[in-house]
Amino acid sequence: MTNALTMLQALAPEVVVAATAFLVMGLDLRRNPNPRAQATVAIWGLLAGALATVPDWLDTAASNSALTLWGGIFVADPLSVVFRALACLTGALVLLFSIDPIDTERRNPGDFVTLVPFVVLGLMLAVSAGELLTFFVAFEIVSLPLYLMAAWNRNERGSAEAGMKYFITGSVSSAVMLYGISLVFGTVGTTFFSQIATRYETLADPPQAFVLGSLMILAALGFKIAAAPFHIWAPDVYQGAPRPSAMFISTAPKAAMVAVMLRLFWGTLALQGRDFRLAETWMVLLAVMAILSMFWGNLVALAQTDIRRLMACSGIAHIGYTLLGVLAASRAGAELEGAAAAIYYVVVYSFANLAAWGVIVLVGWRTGSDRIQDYSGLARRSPFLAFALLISLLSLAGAPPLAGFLGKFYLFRALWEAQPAWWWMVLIAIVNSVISLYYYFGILKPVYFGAPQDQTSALVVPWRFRAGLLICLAVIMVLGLFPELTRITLEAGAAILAQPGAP
Amino acid sequence: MDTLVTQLDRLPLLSLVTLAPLAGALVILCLSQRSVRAIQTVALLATGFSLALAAWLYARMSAFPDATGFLWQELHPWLPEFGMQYHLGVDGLSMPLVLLSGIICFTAAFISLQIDFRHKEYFALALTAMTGVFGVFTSLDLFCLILFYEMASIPMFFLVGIWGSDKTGLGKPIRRQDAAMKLLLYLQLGGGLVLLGIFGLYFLSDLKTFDYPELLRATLAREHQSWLFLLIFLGFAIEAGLVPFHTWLPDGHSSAPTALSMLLAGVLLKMGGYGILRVAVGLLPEGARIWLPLIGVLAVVNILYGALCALRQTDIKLMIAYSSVSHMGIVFLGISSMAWPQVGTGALFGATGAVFQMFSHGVITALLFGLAGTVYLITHSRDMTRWGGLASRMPWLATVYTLGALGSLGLPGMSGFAAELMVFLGTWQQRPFLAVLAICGLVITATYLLRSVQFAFYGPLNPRLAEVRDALPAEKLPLGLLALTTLVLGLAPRLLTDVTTPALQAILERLAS
Repeated sequence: MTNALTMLQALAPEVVVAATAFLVMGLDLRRNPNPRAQATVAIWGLLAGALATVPDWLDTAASNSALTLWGGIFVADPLSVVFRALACLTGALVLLFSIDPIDTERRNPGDFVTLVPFVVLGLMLAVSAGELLTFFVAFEIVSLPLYLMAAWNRNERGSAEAGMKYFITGSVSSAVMLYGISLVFGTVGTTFFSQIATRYETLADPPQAFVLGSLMILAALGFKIAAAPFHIWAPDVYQGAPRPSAMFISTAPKAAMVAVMLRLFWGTLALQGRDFRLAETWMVLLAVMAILSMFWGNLVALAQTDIRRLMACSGIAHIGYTLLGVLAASRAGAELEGAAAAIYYVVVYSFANLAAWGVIVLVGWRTGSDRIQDYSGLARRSPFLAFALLISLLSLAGAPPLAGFLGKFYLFRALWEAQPAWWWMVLIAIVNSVISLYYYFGILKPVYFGAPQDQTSALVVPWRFRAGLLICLAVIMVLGLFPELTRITLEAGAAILAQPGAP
Repeated sequence: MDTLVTQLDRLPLLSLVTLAPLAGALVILCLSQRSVRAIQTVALLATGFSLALAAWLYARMSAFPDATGFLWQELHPWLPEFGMQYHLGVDGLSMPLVLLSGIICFTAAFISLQIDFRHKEYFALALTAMTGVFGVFTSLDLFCLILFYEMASIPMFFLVGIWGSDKTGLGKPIRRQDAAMKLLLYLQLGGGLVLLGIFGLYFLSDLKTFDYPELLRATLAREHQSWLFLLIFLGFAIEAGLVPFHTWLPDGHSSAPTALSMLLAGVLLKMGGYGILRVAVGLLPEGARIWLPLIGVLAVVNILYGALCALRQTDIKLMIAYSSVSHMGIVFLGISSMAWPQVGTGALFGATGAVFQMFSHGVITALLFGLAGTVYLITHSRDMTRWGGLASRMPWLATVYTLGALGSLGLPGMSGFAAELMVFLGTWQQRPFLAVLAICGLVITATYLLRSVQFAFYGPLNPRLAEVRDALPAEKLPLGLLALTTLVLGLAPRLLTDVTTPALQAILERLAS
């Protein structure tokens, strides 16, 4: 079935994005590089990449099948389509939000623009990888440019520190992951997701090394998504890294790694062994991670005065909620709802977070401050920015009729559906949502109630910010008001069910 | 004429009532910040339309007392896979509260003409909250109900925080921003608990639906009913101001701008009471029989504690807010008498009294808050001890305040009397001891209300207030309407009881079986 045409179709988004990346890099080599033009090219290239996923969707979603290349190394199924498109759109939005601040604030803006499509390419490969090593390589394509982006203002102490911290913890996690992969390979003799489960079944004596290897992979993924107890790098990196980089780090990799987690753990590692029910072990671990993340993120966020640190904590908490969906997906009988809820939630989180960060980037660029008290009177200085912040934070806080509410609703429902005895976890999540209201509304308090410190200055919103924010807000509202669109996530979730390794 | 009525019935009447304020909010968003008059007109038209339509529906419902079940239903699938739909409908329990919302929203919109800055945002937010309030009473789908509940509660944060007033003067100061946050957190916690309970209903009933009439057919095990009832009751009770979860109420109500105090005390508290009756008692009869007797005790604590707190206040808005805590206790007491549906008519008396009290207290508190806010606007002080002798300068306001205070303390001939009488009659037949304690609360109520009249309007005139004005026509109209409603209901309580009795009897039959 792998004829040239299928291959081209399945790989079209990656080809487009890779071409864009190299084109943008080439444009940077000119004598007088124009970062704005480069960014514009990159944005259009990424949008074209998102568009190029549509044929894959049409081919696979209806029949719930997958296009596989090279004997299963590369899988284009609805799950990968959703997340490839999401990665492209996230990259495009991040660039849209960084064009204006980019050339006034930083040196070598062209480098920044070049790195974004490379990260997106890595993410696209990671979510479509059908075996562990390909996934690992893709994972590294994502990580290395992100380290650079974090340390990109190298003359600034905070940025250099952020880059260093991110790099060291990130490389350790990569090493841990690689070790885990080698243990898994050593015990079952394959790295293909689709074969791990069947090979495991044939083993006479289920080896503990397999469990250890899976555990290491889980820990490394936990680092990437900043889930407690692997989260501690996040606040420092978000605060120190340049704002557009932090915006990128807080959205795209997280979303993609959640997709990988769903594919990997639900389909492959959460096996129902004979004498060792691995799935139940995962559920306990995921539950611990979810609960720790929610509590740590929400409680620590209460004390923050810097909006970037606050967003880092809120991101950790949101990953905690998302893990509830992954957890529900691990339960036989509720896979579909759980996976769909996690996918929906992480998509919604991405757009709400992008909108909030868009405001943070603009305000930080114009005022040079990230302190929450400096947001005082934003509603007077720019009603539009205040409104964008309001909608995005309300969605993150889970207020109806925005998508964040529906997202939480699906998660809680999926969790209960998966195991009614876990109702206490729903209670924990609800209590956490109430806690989170305090700091989200704590941001909105100065924004709407406070008076501007500098009476004269209205904040001008450049059209690119206006456009980017409007897109994000439209997504948040439309997904919330027309939940029929969530069928897309259901179909993406079903892709996991269709995996060969799935029970 | 008949054909016209049947034609009209084809319209989505309840959607029109519910969504008219939201439509008004959207229109206002399109208007310029500077066209204040247009913004105010739109707000008045939208709420006036809702009120007129609600009153018409109420009149039609009371003309057919035999009609059972839910009327004017609208059902549109929204997310059928998850058992969610947009389902509206009213019965004898919700219709009075829809009418109450209409009255309060309209009068609150009128009183909102006093707002003198950031009109556009104010009216857009307030009208959105009003749609939420209507929606809670009209929705027959529990998911919709939660949605409307959030819609009603979240704008309150901004309305209280931006347009509210800080408490200064004697006692602990209250900043409006803190009050707004407290209000938000409490209301959301309540909403979260209710959501969890509704999930329980959804899954444990095995029906996988949020549709209320469908869920009425559910059969749940006794222990499930017990803890689901507790969750849902607690969630709604936080909103209805149950001691010790009431602390958001005095802060929030006293800090809110006048019109919002009216809305909060007038209808938002009633959403809690309604939710308990509709969802907790209505859907979980076994759970209700387990917990309702205990709720009677909590109710008496509410009545006495609220009254004692009110007695200590010199800030008039705080006093009215604590009186709300006390009066919501009477609603709880009425609901708790439904625990013994078989014994005589006590249960029906109590339940009818609870609904009557919700209506009557809604109108009277809105009236008192409206008056207090207006006097505050004129005198720039919320401290009653600094008013004094105002009756000579503002006779109209003084008269109506006295009327409202008398209604609130349960003077015969006013709606408060009818409500409290029914609740106490019901309780007396079942637990005379509780009734006696509750009636003690009434003595305290009379004390603080009459004292407030004396402080504020009689005695020597505070010389600093010699030049103050009386109410303007735009204030007389809404306040007069509220006062008139109290009088009419007090003189003809059947106007309300005829509508509520069939619906409450249906709930009691479920409880008894």
